[in-house]
Amino acid sequence: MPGWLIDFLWVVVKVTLVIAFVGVNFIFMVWLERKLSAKMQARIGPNRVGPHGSLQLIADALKLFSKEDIKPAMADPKVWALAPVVMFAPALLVFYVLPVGPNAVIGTDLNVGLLYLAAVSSFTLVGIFMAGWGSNSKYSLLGAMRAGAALMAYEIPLVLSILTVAMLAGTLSVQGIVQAQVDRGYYFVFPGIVAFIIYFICVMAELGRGPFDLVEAEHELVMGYQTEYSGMRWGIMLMAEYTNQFTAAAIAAMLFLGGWDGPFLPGWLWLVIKAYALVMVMMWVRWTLPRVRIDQLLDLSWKFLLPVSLLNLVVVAIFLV
Amino acid sequence: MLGPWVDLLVFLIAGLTFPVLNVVLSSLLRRDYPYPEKVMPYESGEDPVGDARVRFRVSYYVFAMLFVVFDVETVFLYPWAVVLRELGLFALIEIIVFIGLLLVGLYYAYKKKVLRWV
Amino acid sequence: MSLQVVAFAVLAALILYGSYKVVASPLITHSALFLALVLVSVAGVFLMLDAVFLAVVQVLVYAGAVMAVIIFAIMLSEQREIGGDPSAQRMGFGEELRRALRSRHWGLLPAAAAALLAVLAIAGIGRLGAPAAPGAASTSVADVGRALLTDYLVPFEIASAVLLAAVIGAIVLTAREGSDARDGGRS
Repeated sequence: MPGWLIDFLWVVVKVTLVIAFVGVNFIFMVWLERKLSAKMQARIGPNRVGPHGSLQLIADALKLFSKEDIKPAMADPKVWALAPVVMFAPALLVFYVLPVGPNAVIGTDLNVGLLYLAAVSSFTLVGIFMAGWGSNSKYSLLGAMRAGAALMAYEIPLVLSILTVAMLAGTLSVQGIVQAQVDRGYYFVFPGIVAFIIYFICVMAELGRGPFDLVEAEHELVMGYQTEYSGMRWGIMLMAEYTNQFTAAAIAAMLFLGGWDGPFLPGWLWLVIKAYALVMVMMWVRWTLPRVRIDQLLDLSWKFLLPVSLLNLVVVAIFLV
Repeated sequence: MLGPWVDLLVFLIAGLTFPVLNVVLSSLLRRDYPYPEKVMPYESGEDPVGDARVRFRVSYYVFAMLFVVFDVETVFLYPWAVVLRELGLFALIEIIVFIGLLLVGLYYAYKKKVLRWV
Repeated sequence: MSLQVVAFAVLAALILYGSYKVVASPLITHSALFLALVLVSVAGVFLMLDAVFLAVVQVLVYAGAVMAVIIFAIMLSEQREIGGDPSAQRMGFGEELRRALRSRHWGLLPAAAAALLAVLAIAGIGRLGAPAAPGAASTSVADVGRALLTDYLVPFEIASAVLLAAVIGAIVLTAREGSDARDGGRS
């Protein structure tokens, strides 16, 4: 077999593994969220199918497969149909630069890693607007506008907090940042605690989680830009959403908590443990705090997080020089 | 050696085909029964009135402009963050001037009350 | 080499088709989405040239931020269709092209110019030597940073002044003294 063919097949295997992980992670996270939210609200949650309801989501996934795919008559068919695809592809592309061990990166360790992550995730905005425009429904369009405003407002403080880490490590490569933490023996969460908190708030807002879920505030906007989707198309959108939530937590674990670094257990397991710990904190916040209004959402970012993250960047830079 | 960009392309193609595959697969498992009431835009049971394409308020656009400006700013900050330790104080002062000018812009926006939503 | 020619041809075709659709789509939302396709394809060309930093910035700034402005600008307008010819939506590419030629569609001009450029580029690609091995000659982010902060210091600082002007311009244009710009739309 020629060398390039082996390389190619290896990439295909890797992609398949990542997609398999995305699917399993999706099912597990939905189950976890339902169980956790039930515990927090003194309910029981899913408990019928399998032990502790663990097979419930498999049943749900099968049900989703058999659901009718309703094509709204007023929709712009092509844009409407393409939107879930445009939303899912960036969610998968994010995995490309993530390191899972000392010398193991899922795809390639790009020296512009952080910039790549920001670029790929910025494309989500286009997907959201394709869903909003394509559906040609008022709820969808309003949801897309809110999602767009939230994405724009929180992207800048998010990037500035990531830059604090890049500055500490002196590189944009994600693997390089994890390695720098291992080499120096401390995690960047200590010098970058402010950046960590800002990052956490920003990803929750960008994902439309927690108190910032007014994008799909069900009492006023039904499901936001997802309103006109059903069956597997909606399933894909939801999968992209949960995948983004996991990768956001995984990136936080890599930038601030040492990524794959940890004793005894293999690197990828440490990464998954740290990421899930952060995911559970996100769920905790989501099911605890009430939803904010859109003006509060934008005020928090433009008037508070943006100046604070700029100042934080400068202060950390002064300490470094 | 195919280089990293072919790998990236494989990831991209997989990301684009996986959703399509799922939708096609599920369409093979069931039949659709569309009727006019079902394919109507969903408005909580009411019949939709008018078009969804209404004019949105201008403040969204101001936020979008602010976003572009600060996004371009962060693009300049990435290379700076990498070489800060190397260039030291010089780079620090440069960036304080750079960020300072943009903070002036943000302060102007704040004073002009365009950051206010209602 | 052959793989690169194929990749370039695909990207060029995407860029050409996308830019044609940007000017020929009857729906302005479609125009915007095709513009996004063009911008991402251009990033692909940058990648082929081993300009990784530029490619990523292209996606980040153009496909991310500039698209956001275009999207929100479209949301400001009440009319989303150009020309108001609903049958144009269902035309094939060939029929569109013929119509465009007959009506002396001015939008075709840039597309034709782009086509000419692409032909020149394809003609030229054979004459160039093999491109540098990946990673060998590519500029790293650190190089860009060093260049920005030392040799190109003045343009760098001027850039921030330009950005400041952009902020002020946007505010002056949208929020005029005395009138409340925020009641411009219904939602």
